This record gives sequence, structure tokens and C-alpha cells, in this order.
Amino acid sequence: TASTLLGRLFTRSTSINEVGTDVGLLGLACSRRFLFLQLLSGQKRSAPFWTFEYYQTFFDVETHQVRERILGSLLPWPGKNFVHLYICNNPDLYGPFWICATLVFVIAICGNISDFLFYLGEPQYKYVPEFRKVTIAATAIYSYACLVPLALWGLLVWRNSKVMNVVSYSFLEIVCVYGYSLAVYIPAVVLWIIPYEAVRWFSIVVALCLSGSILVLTFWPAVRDDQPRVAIAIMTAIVALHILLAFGCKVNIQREKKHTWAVFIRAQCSKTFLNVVHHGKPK
Amino acid sequence: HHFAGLSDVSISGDIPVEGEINVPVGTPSQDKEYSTLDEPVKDTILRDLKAVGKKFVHVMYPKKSSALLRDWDLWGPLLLCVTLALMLQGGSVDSKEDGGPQFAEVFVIIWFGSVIITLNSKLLGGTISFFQSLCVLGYCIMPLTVAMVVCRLVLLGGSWGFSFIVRLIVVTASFSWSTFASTAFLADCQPPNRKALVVYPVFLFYFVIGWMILTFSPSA
Repeated sequence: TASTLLGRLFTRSTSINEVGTDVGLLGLACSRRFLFLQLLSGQKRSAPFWTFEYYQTFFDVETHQVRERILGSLLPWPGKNFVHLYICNNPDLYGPFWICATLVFVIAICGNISDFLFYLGEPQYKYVPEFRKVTIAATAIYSYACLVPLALWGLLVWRNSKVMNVVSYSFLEIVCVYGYSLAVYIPAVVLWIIPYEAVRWFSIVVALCLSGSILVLTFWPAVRDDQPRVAIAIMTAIVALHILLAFGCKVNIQREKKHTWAVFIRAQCSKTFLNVVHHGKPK
Repeated sequence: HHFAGLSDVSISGDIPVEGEINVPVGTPSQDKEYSTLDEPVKDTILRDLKAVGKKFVHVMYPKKSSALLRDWDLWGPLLLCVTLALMLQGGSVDSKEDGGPQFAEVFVIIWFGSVIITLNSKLLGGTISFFQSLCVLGYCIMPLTVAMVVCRLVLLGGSWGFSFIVRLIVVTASFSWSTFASTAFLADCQPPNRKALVVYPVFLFYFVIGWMILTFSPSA
């Protein structure tokens, strides 16, 4: 029914077995806290969804927790599950929302700067701040961060009903993973200001590898108990959508490539023409 | 037993009592409201303008004062927002492609951004009220508006080179001032281990506005 689906959308993940296998001090601290919370058996989200307190439970994080989660998303390590290690049954919406907002503005600003540096010294070029970039980037990034986790969660729930998985994630935890995995794109986009193509390709490939591996390491335990073809298909879809986002951002920044080459060539031609005219005149 | 000795005192039944009994008609505050309705319009406007001006002074010298928080009003933010949006609009109006932000875009960014930041600080457990936070964020745009005026004057003398450096310094200084001023008012209303989580969106908000001011280029 609709109400049970709504309830399952927001409850914690049911990964009791996975907790014991986390090694490391952080893992132990997380599992101890998880067991403590289970002991208390307090349903965190007990307020009805039309009150303000209900939404306050999604922002129940502190500065050092957000910092740890961002740093953990920048450095994936095989064997360390992002959800179990850092999110610890306390998914928040603060990180994903503000990381996406920062990414949108950084893409717009760095796109403007890279265009400006490309045209430095051309007197015919008039600098215009492209404001449309902000709206396009915002739509793309926020829909990626909302719709892809929804689709993935629905897919995992459907597979879970067919094959009993040991590990399953709640919708908010998937949103958290996707949001924090976008954090590595922010320094990569800043590096796009450097006008060398090699640097740009290198930065985007490194960012893609790091964030893609976070996603793969997180979702592999959730699908590995399934049939191998289905598991491979799901993982391929996750990676493919991520690559699509990365290259969408790149294209958005350099959208007028063809147009800019035409303008550049036209400017060079007029410059040489003016030179010839000027030197041809008798002094 | 203080009054035991009076038990044998007799008082005649009819003692004429003289005097006046007054029951005040209406409460004193009703009297005051009556007077503000009756006062000339000039007095009302001057009183509101003085309140707005006092808040501007508080923003320029941010101390721990509660005037901004206690008597919040949204006239100042509206004035600043409209001024900034009008000044930012004059750029590249003749180009066929879309250029700088239009009036509506600046307006939407400032008000929508303020609402989002206020919601964020309330969701993180802040004790400030919704309109108080809007008031503080709106008034703290004032250094950036001053920077916009300065930038337009500097742009009269050319776009690049020295004028760009001057504009960069002015916009950076005013954006830091805005962030510092609003943090001085807002950060006290937050739990201590979440202050950075509340300050960062404010920083991003003023950074974006500062960027729009810095990249403003007037039409030829």
C-alpha cells in the first residue's frame, strides 16, 4: 500500500550482518553506535511528516561529521563501505543539497572564466556572463541527484523482493551516497580554468574514477547476491549514467566550441586585414 | 488579636462618603494607536525611514546589537534588492544572445537564496525566526550594493587593466564584509557545533552576488 511504501522510503537500512564485517576503528565505532541505537530502538523519524520536526531529523549532523563524509567520498578504498562507515544510519540532506548547489555555481563560474581566458586579448570579443548556464546546470545536477537514486532504489527493492539480499539501503542513504560522490567534481571543475586540454581531460577522468568507484564499492554488496547478469547490468547502468553526467558538464562548459572557433578565426582574419591595410599606407 | 480592642466600637450605619469614582474608558495602548492613526503621513514615513537608516548603520559597524533582530522589517532589503537588480540590468541589453542576469533573475536569486538559507538554518536547529533571518540577510547586502555603485563609477574609466584590479579589490572587500556582518548576527542563534554548516551557505550566497557584480559589463 502507499503508506507502507512511504514508510519504507525513509526507514533505516537493514544491514545487520554487514556491520560485523567492517574492519578498522571507524567501522567498530559505527557498528557500536548502530547496535546502541538498535538497543534504544527509538524510531528516529517518529514525528508525522507534516511537522517541521520531521524534516529536522534529516539535518541532524554536525560540522565534523559532514567534513568526514566529504573526505571519505574523496578517497575510496576497497573494503570500506561509504554507507556503513560514514553514514551510520544517519543520512542527511544537508551534504547532498549544498554540494549540488556549490557544483552548479562552480560550473557556471569556471565556464565563464575559461571562456574569458580563451578570448584574452581579442578586442572584438565582448565578455558576457552566460547566465543560462546556471539554470541548465542546476536542472541537470539536481535531477541527477534526485531521480537516479529514486530509480535505483526502486530497482533494488524490486530485486530484493525476488532475491533475498543481505545488504539493502534506504532511499535517503542512496541519495546521500550520490550527493557526496559529486563532491570530487568540485576541484575537478576548478582545474578546468587551466586552458590546456590535457589538464582538463586528466582532471575529469580522475574525478570520474574516484566518484565512480565510490558508487561501485557501495552498490556491489547490494547486488552481488543476485544473478550475475542482473548484477552486471545494474552496475553498468550506474557507471554509464555517471559518465553521462561528467561529459554533460564538460559539454555545458564548452558548449559554443564550434561557434567560438568561427568567431576566433573571424577575429584573426580581421586583425591580419587591418595589419595589411595599416602597413600598406605610406607614412 | 490586633483588632480585638475594636470589637466594642460601634459605627453608625450611614456615613456619607464623598468623592469621585472614575473608570478609565479603554486601555492606554488604545490611546497610542489612536494617535499613530491620527498623525500626519510625513511622521509615519520619517519614523520608518529612521528605523531603516538605523539598521543600515548597524550593518556598517556590526556589533552585537539586537536592533536588527528585534525590530525586523523588510523595507531595507527590498530597497537594496531593487537597487542592485536595476544596476545589474543595464549590461549587454543589445546582444542577441542572452547576456547578463535580468532584473527578474537577480530578484529571484536574492529572495529565493535568502529563503533557502533561512530554511537551512532553521532545519539545523537555529533559534532565529524566519523573518528575522530574511531581514538580516537582506540588510547585509548593503556593502555589495555600495560596491556595485563604486564599480559602475570605475567602469566609466575603462573595463580592463587597472579598473579591473580596483573592482576586484572592492568586490572582495565588500563580500567579506557582508559575510562577516551577517555571521555576527546569525551565528549566535545556532548550536556551537553547527556554526560552520550555517555560515557556508551564507558565504556561497554573497560570493555569487559578488561574482555577478564583478562580471558586470555595461553595453557599449
